[in-house]
Amino acid sequence: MLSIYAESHELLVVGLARNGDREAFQDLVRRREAWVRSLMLRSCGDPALADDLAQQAFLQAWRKLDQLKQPKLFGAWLKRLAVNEWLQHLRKKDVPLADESWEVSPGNTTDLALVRDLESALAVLPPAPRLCVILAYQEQMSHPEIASLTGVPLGTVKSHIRRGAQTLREILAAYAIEGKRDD
Amino acid sequence: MTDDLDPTLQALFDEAPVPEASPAFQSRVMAALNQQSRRRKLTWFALDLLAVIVIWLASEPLQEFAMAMIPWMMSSLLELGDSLWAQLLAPVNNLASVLALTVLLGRSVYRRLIRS
Repeated sequence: MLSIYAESHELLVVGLARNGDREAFQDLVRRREAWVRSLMLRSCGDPALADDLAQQAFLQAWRKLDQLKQPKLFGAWLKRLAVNEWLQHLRKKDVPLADESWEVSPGNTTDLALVRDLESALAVLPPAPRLCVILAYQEQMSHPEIASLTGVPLGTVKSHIRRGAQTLREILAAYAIEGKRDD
Repeated sequence: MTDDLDPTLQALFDEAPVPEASPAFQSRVMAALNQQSRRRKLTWFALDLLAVIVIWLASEPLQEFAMAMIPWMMSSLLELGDSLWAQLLAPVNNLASVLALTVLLGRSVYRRLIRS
């Protein structure tokens, strides 16, 4: 039964899911879960928490699917729900999102053995700059779009992305040099 | 997308592996969804039951209250005697009509304010 959905255009599957078709929604989960989990994993750096947040985003999607006016925007809408889940989690932990005076923990940057890939390098950044960098580089969102989605002022978004990208470059460059030395 | 992005970093993001599709995660979401639906049905059933009980308990006092209010609501606001005006204005010359018209007017204003 699911193969029928798998072969259908997403627009059609979204339409069916909006009408309460659970199998259609299951197919949407199948299509989008890797992307949502990746977004959440890079945002929070914890696989278990990322899966919990992604699950919450899909449950929200099922509850609010009838509010989705344009089925063709399902992806962007789902991304908004997922990012909101992450922001809600941060707010519960009292993490400041618009604080421009963040610093990278020195313990993290010097421990190059841990910075093996992009995920580990991203984990060095505080949550708010990390999210802004991910939305800009992974999701190709513009600065105003990120500001609108996260509720962080535009100037702060720009600052987060600029400084976040610079920090990532430094960390990854240092790791590359360290890696060449080991060779 | 018009903002300047660092090409090296962009390449890293493009090349970074994404998690593979996980049937276990899909099953987990669908199980949670079923559980959520069951919980919502149960909540609605409990609310319906509560509403029935409240209506059942309150029906008699409410009916008595309505019966007591009817003569007061239907009494004339302006004493016009038995004239033609009295007969023409009879449908609106009472407290119930004034209240009904106020509610309709208020709703209309509220909708206009919300839409604008």
